[in-house]
Amino acid sequence: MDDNEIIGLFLARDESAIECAGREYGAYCAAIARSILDDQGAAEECVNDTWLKCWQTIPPQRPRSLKGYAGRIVRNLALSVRRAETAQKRGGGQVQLALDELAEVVSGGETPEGALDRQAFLAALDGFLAGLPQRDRNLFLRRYWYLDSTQRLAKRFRMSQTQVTTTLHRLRVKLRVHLQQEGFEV
Amino acid sequence: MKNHELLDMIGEASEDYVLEAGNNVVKPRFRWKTIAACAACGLLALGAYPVYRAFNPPLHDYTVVEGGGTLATQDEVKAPAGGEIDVPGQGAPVPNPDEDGILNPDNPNRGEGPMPGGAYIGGDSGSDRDGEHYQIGVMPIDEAATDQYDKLLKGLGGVDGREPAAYPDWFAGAWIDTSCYYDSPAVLTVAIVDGFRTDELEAEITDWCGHGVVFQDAKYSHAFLNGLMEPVVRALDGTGLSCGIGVDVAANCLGVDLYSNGTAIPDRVLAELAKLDPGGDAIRVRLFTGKIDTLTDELVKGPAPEPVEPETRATPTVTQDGEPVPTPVDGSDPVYHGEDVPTGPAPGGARSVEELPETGEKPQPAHYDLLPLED
Repeated sequence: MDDNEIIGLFLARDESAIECAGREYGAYCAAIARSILDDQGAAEECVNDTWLKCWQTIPPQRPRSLKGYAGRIVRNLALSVRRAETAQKRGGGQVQLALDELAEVVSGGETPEGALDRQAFLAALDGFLAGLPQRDRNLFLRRYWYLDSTQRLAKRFRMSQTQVTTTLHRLRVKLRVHLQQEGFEV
Repeated sequence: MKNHELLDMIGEASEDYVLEAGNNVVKPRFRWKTIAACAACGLLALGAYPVYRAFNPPLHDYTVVEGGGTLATQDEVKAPAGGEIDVPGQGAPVPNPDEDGILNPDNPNRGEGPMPGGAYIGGDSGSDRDGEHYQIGVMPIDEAATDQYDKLLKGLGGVDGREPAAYPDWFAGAWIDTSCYYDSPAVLTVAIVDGFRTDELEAEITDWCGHGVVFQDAKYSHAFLNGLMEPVVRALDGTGLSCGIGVDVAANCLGVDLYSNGTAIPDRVLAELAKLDPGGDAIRVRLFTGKIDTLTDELVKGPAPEPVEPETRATPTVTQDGEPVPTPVDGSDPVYHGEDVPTGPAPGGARSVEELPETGEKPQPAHYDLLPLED
């Protein structure tokens, strides 16, 4: 069953849409949740919440890709859970490491409400990603979107961990320069 | 801007890029270098092996037999299984079965010694140093088996108990097996080359020889083993090794017995044998380490001739270079070169160094000439 048919079921308020979505993209969403959360049970809960969120938001939303839509939802949910856990105790696996790395890009200062043009920032971010070679772009997103560990990235991209770390550092510097060139005070 | 805000913003990145990264599977790189290195190593190994083999050819294995040889020694008279061929000038003569009439009914020694086709019956006999007749290991003659052997040769094309001109490809040899019980008759055993043994062939041989013939499988034909003799003798030529060579029909191989007399078999010979016998089972090499009784040669060939006095040398008429001895025109004494100088008093009364007259001087080293003479 392809994306359009499943989205059609959501739009038709057919409850079998959740089952179909889970069958098609359950593993994908679970992998995202597991890379953010160490707890297997919490990851499964996030995936279930994802289908509920889809049910609640489609319609009125009509996503172009259900896979991308569900993936973004599960990532945000997992990050939320992670943040809640981190608020109680320090440490936090790949999320914390990714945050520490991204701290090199941003100043860490408070941004006045409304001062950051969200759409313009996302356009600049997409522009940055578009300008990268495919391998670098994939590596960047696997690290900061999917929150893969460097070990996993090294295996996936057939690189050494040192190469992965070096490439990611170079990409972060490039991102900061790009954002500054686009006029953002990061 | 906080780092978690940036992380959230990245979460909003273009869906296309996110899906692309999600689906991204890096294909394993084609390992040209590894494959090229492996191929190079393989080629090197393949190329190196023939070169290595050229310098280190495989050697034929051999068995070292401690003690004396079997080459007609007085104390240990025994012939190698099968016939024996004497390399010219390297051992005692071997009786010719045809000439000696081993199969001849009129021969009193019929049934003993090597037979045509490599068969061998009984031990050995002869006269020892004192002229006494000796006989070692002679087995009882089995007339029935010997007759069967005659018939076999006849069936193979031999006439009057002689070998046929050529043995068929299936024939690997025949022998009279006396290894049965003491009171049991000997049996004729016929070896047939693998692949040729059929009921029809067995029936044909039984027709020739009568019942009671034992058949045995063999790998090499008699003709093949016979054909190996000549190249083996060629390989041994010039090595100085004494040897006895003969087809061992029972073992289905060419027996090569070498008598080292203290010397080792040269690798060249073993390499040549290995080349002739790649399977390693067609030629059986045995090296006897003991010394051969050289007195035997004297007995066989008679006493060594008295050394002949060299002829008295005539005065040369030509030099070593083939040129005529120059004679001076004035009729004086001829001029000699090198060893052409004739012995005896030289013309003109000249004498050799040994003939210098006694002077009464004490012989002294040459450097004493530089010192003042003692009184």
